[in-house]
Amino acid sequence: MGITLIDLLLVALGGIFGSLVRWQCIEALPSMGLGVFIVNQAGVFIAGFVAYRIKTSIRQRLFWITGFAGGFTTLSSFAYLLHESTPVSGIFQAAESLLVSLLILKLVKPRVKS
Amino acid sequence: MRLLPFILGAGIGAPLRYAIDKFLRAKYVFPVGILIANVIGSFILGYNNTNYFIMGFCGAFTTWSAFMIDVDRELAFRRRTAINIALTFGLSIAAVAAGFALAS
Repeated sequence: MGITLIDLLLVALGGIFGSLVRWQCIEALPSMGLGVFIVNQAGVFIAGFVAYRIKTSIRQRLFWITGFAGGFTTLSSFAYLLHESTPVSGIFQAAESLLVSLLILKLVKPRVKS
Repeated sequence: MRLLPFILGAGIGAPLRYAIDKFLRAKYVFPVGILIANVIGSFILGYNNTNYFIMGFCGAFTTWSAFMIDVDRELAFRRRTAINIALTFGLSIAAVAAGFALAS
Protein backbone atom coordinates (compact mmCIF):
# COMPACT_ATOMS: atom_id res chain seq x y z
CA MET A 1 0.00 0.00 0.00
CA GLY A 2 2.95 2.33 -0.53
CA ILE A 3 3.13 5.25 -2.89
CA THR A 4 4.95 4.61 -6.15
CA LEU A 5 6.56 7.13 -8.46
CA ILE A 6 4.21 6.19 -11.27
CA ASP A 7 1.19 6.88 -9.00
CA LEU A 8 2.58 10.32 -8.12
CA LEU A 9 3.22 11.02 -11.81
CA LEU A 10 -0.34 10.04 -12.78
CA VAL A 11 -1.80 12.30 -10.09
CA ALA A 12 0.55 15.13 -11.16
CA LEU A 13 -0.42 14.83 -14.84
CA GLY A 14 -4.15 14.60 -14.02
CA GLY A 15 -3.75 17.56 -11.65
CA ILE A 16 -1.99 19.69 -14.28
CA PHE A 17 -4.61 18.82 -16.89
CA GLY A 18 -7.52 19.54 -14.51
CA SER A 19 -5.95 22.80 -13.30
CA LEU A 20 -5.43 24.07 -16.86
CA VAL A 21 -9.05 23.27 -17.76
CA ARG A 22 -10.21 25.05 -14.57
CA TRP A 23 -8.16 28.13 -15.46
CA GLN A 24 -9.72 28.29 -18.94
CA CYS A 25 -13.25 27.66 -17.63
CA ILE A 26 -13.04 30.33 -14.92
CA GLU A 27 -11.64 32.88 -17.40
CA ALA A 28 -14.45 32.07 -19.85
CA LEU A 29 -17.21 32.54 -17.26
CA PRO A 30 -18.54 36.03 -16.40
CA SER A 31 -17.53 36.08 -12.73
CA MET A 32 -15.06 34.38 -10.42
CA GLY A 33 -17.90 33.33 -8.09
CA LEU A 34 -19.87 31.64 -10.87
CA GLY A 35 -16.68 30.15 -12.32
CA VAL A 36 -15.64 28.51 -9.05
CA PHE A 37 -19.18 27.22 -8.48
CA ILE A 38 -19.43 25.70 -11.98
CA VAL A 39 -15.99 24.01 -11.95
CA ASN A 40 -16.54 22.61 -8.45
CA GLN A 41 -19.91 21.12 -9.35
CA ALA A 42 -18.64 19.79 -12.69
CA GLY A 43 -15.65 18.29 -10.89
CA VAL A 44 -17.90 16.53 -8.38
CA PHE A 45 -19.89 15.11 -11.29
CA ILE A 46 -16.71 13.86 -13.01
CA ALA A 47 -15.31 12.34 -9.80
CA GLY A 48 -18.66 10.73 -8.97
CA PHE A 49 -19.14 9.43 -12.48
CA VAL A 50 -15.69 7.82 -12.60
CA ALA A 51 -16.05 6.47 -9.04
CA TYR A 52 -19.56 5.04 -9.29
CA ARG A 53 -20.58 4.61 -12.92
CA ILE A 54 -17.67 3.17 -14.88
CA LYS A 55 -15.35 0.25 -14.37
CA THR A 56 -11.85 1.60 -13.86
CA SER A 57 -8.45 0.47 -12.68
CA ILE A 58 -6.83 1.98 -9.57
CA ARG A 59 -4.48 3.96 -11.81
CA GLN A 60 -7.29 5.32 -13.95
CA ARG A 61 -9.01 6.48 -10.75
CA LEU A 62 -5.79 8.12 -9.56
CA PHE A 63 -5.54 10.07 -12.82
CA TRP A 64 -9.22 11.09 -13.14
CA ILE A 65 -10.47 11.36 -9.55
CA THR A 66 -7.41 12.30 -7.46
CA GLY A 67 -5.56 14.13 -10.26
CA PHE A 68 -8.00 15.60 -12.76
CA ALA A 69 -11.09 16.24 -10.57
CA GLY A 70 -8.88 17.18 -7.60
CA GLY A 71 -6.97 19.72 -9.70
CA PHE A 72 -10.05 20.93 -11.56
CA THR A 73 -11.96 21.72 -8.36
CA THR A 74 -10.65 24.11 -5.75
CA LEU A 75 -11.37 24.95 -2.16
CA SER A 76 -8.77 27.71 -1.80
CA SER A 77 -10.46 29.99 -4.36
CA PHE A 78 -13.85 29.24 -2.81
CA ALA A 79 -12.54 30.05 0.67
CA TYR A 80 -11.03 33.26 -0.76
CA LEU A 81 -14.42 34.28 -2.19
CA LEU A 82 -16.18 33.43 1.08
CA HIS A 83 -13.61 35.47 3.01
CA GLU A 84 -14.59 38.48 0.86
CA SER A 85 -18.34 37.86 1.34
CA THR A 86 -20.62 38.97 4.16
CA PRO A 87 -21.31 36.19 6.73
CA VAL A 88 -24.93 35.72 5.56
CA SER A 89 -23.97 35.52 1.88
CA GLY A 90 -21.06 33.23 2.76
CA ILE A 91 -23.24 30.77 4.64
CA PHE A 92 -25.75 30.80 1.78
CA GLN A 93 -23.02 30.15 -0.84
CA ALA A 94 -21.44 27.36 1.22
CA ALA A 95 -24.82 25.66 1.80
CA GLU A 96 -25.73 26.02 -1.89
CA SER A 97 -22.47 24.40 -3.05
CA LEU A 98 -22.78 21.59 -0.49
CA LEU A 99 -26.39 20.77 -1.37
CA VAL A 100 -25.88 20.90 -5.14
CA SER A 101 -22.85 18.59 -4.84
CA LEU A 102 -24.78 16.13 -2.66
CA LEU A 103 -27.62 16.15 -5.21
CA ILE A 104 -25.19 15.53 -8.09
CA LEU A 105 -23.64 12.59 -6.22
CA LYS A 106 -27.08 11.22 -5.37
CA LEU A 107 -28.07 11.35 -9.05
CA VAL A 108 -24.79 9.95 -10.35
CA LYS A 109 -24.77 6.93 -8.04
CA PRO A 110 -26.56 3.89 -9.44
CA ARG A 111 -29.75 3.07 -7.55
CA VAL A 112 -29.44 0.08 -5.28
CA LYS A 113 -32.32 -2.28 -5.93
CA SER A 114 -34.00 -3.32 -2.70
CA MET B 1 5.39 33.78 -18.49
CA ARG B 2 2.26 32.47 -16.82
CA LEU B 3 1.83 28.94 -18.15
CA LEU B 4 5.06 27.31 -16.95
CA PRO B 5 4.89 28.37 -13.28
CA PHE B 6 1.18 27.46 -13.20
CA ILE B 7 1.88 23.96 -14.58
CA LEU B 8 4.78 23.52 -12.17
CA GLY B 9 2.61 24.56 -9.20
CA ALA B 10 -0.23 22.21 -10.19
CA GLY B 11 2.24 19.39 -10.87
CA ILE B 12 3.54 19.69 -7.30
CA GLY B 13 0.22 20.48 -5.56
CA ALA B 14 -1.83 17.50 -6.74
CA PRO B 15 0.66 14.70 -5.92
CA LEU B 16 1.53 16.37 -2.59
CA ARG B 17 -2.17 16.32 -1.61
CA TYR B 18 -2.36 12.67 -2.70
CA ALA B 19 0.68 11.68 -0.64
CA ILE B 20 -0.52 13.51 2.51
CA ASP B 21 -4.05 12.10 2.15
CA LYS B 22 -2.87 8.55 1.51
CA PHE B 23 -0.47 8.64 4.47
CA LEU B 24 -3.08 10.00 6.93
CA ARG B 25 -6.02 7.93 5.66
CA ALA B 26 -4.17 4.80 6.72
CA LYS B 27 -4.05 6.19 10.29
CA TYR B 28 -7.36 8.04 10.81
CA VAL B 29 -11.01 7.51 9.86
CA PHE B 30 -11.55 11.26 9.64
CA PRO B 31 -10.28 12.75 6.32
CA VAL B 32 -7.55 14.82 7.99
CA GLY B 33 -5.31 14.83 4.89
CA ILE B 34 -7.83 16.61 2.66
CA LEU B 35 -8.65 19.02 5.50
CA ILE B 36 -4.96 19.87 6.01
CA ALA B 37 -4.40 20.37 2.25
CA ASN B 38 -7.47 22.63 2.00
CA VAL B 39 -6.49 24.75 5.00
CA ILE B 40 -2.81 25.14 4.05
CA GLY B 41 -3.71 25.88 0.41
CA SER B 42 -6.20 28.51 1.55
CA PHE B 43 -3.58 30.13 3.79
CA ILE B 44 -1.09 30.35 0.91
CA LEU B 45 -3.69 31.77 -1.50
CA GLY B 46 -4.70 34.34 1.13
CA TYR B 47 -1.04 35.37 1.39
CA ASN B 48 -0.53 35.74 -2.36
CA ASN B 49 -3.14 35.28 -5.07
CA THR B 50 -1.33 36.93 -7.98
CA ASN B 51 1.65 34.59 -8.47
CA TYR B 52 1.03 31.94 -11.13
CA PHE B 53 3.05 29.24 -9.39
CA ILE B 54 0.96 29.76 -6.25
CA MET B 55 -2.28 29.83 -8.26
CA GLY B 56 -1.38 26.50 -9.88
CA PHE B 57 -0.22 24.99 -6.61
CA CYS B 58 -3.18 26.04 -4.43
CA GLY B 59 -5.79 25.09 -7.01
CA ALA B 60 -4.38 21.59 -7.40
CA PHE B 61 -3.42 21.11 -3.72
CA THR B 62 -6.89 22.04 -2.46
CA THR B 63 -9.95 20.16 -3.66
CA TRP B 64 -13.70 20.39 -3.52
CA SER B 65 -14.42 17.03 -5.18
CA ALA B 66 -12.54 14.85 -2.67
CA PHE B 67 -14.10 16.82 0.22
CA MET B 68 -17.60 16.24 -1.19
CA ILE B 69 -17.02 12.55 -1.94
CA ASP B 70 -16.04 12.12 1.72
CA VAL B 71 -19.04 14.15 2.97
CA ASP B 72 -21.40 12.11 0.78
CA ARG B 73 -19.90 8.75 1.74
CA GLU B 74 -19.94 9.56 5.46
CA LEU B 75 -23.35 11.24 5.47
CA ALA B 76 -24.79 8.60 7.79
CA PHE B 77 -22.14 9.48 10.39
CA ARG B 78 -23.77 12.85 11.07
CA ARG B 79 -21.52 14.06 13.84
CA ARG B 80 -18.27 13.31 12.00
CA THR B 81 -19.59 14.81 8.77
CA ALA B 82 -20.87 17.95 10.49
CA ILE B 83 -17.44 18.38 12.10
CA ASN B 84 -15.71 17.89 8.72
CA ILE B 85 -17.92 20.53 7.05
CA ALA B 86 -17.56 23.01 9.92
CA LEU B 87 -13.78 22.57 10.15
CA THR B 88 -13.23 22.71 6.37
CA PHE B 89 -15.15 25.97 5.93
CA GLY B 90 -14.21 27.56 9.26
CA LEU B 91 -10.49 26.83 9.13
CA SER B 92 -10.11 27.51 5.38
CA ILE B 93 -11.77 30.94 5.60
CA ALA B 94 -9.77 31.74 8.75
CA ALA B 95 -6.60 30.61 6.93
CA VAL B 96 -7.32 32.94 3.97
CA ALA B 97 -7.85 35.80 6.45
CA ALA B 98 -4.62 34.92 8.29
CA GLY B 99 -2.59 34.74 5.05
CA PHE B 100 -4.12 38.00 3.87
CA ALA B 101 -3.32 39.70 7.18
CA LEU B 102 0.25 38.40 7.11
CA ALA B 103 0.82 39.85 3.64
CA SER B 104 -0.62 43.31 4.38
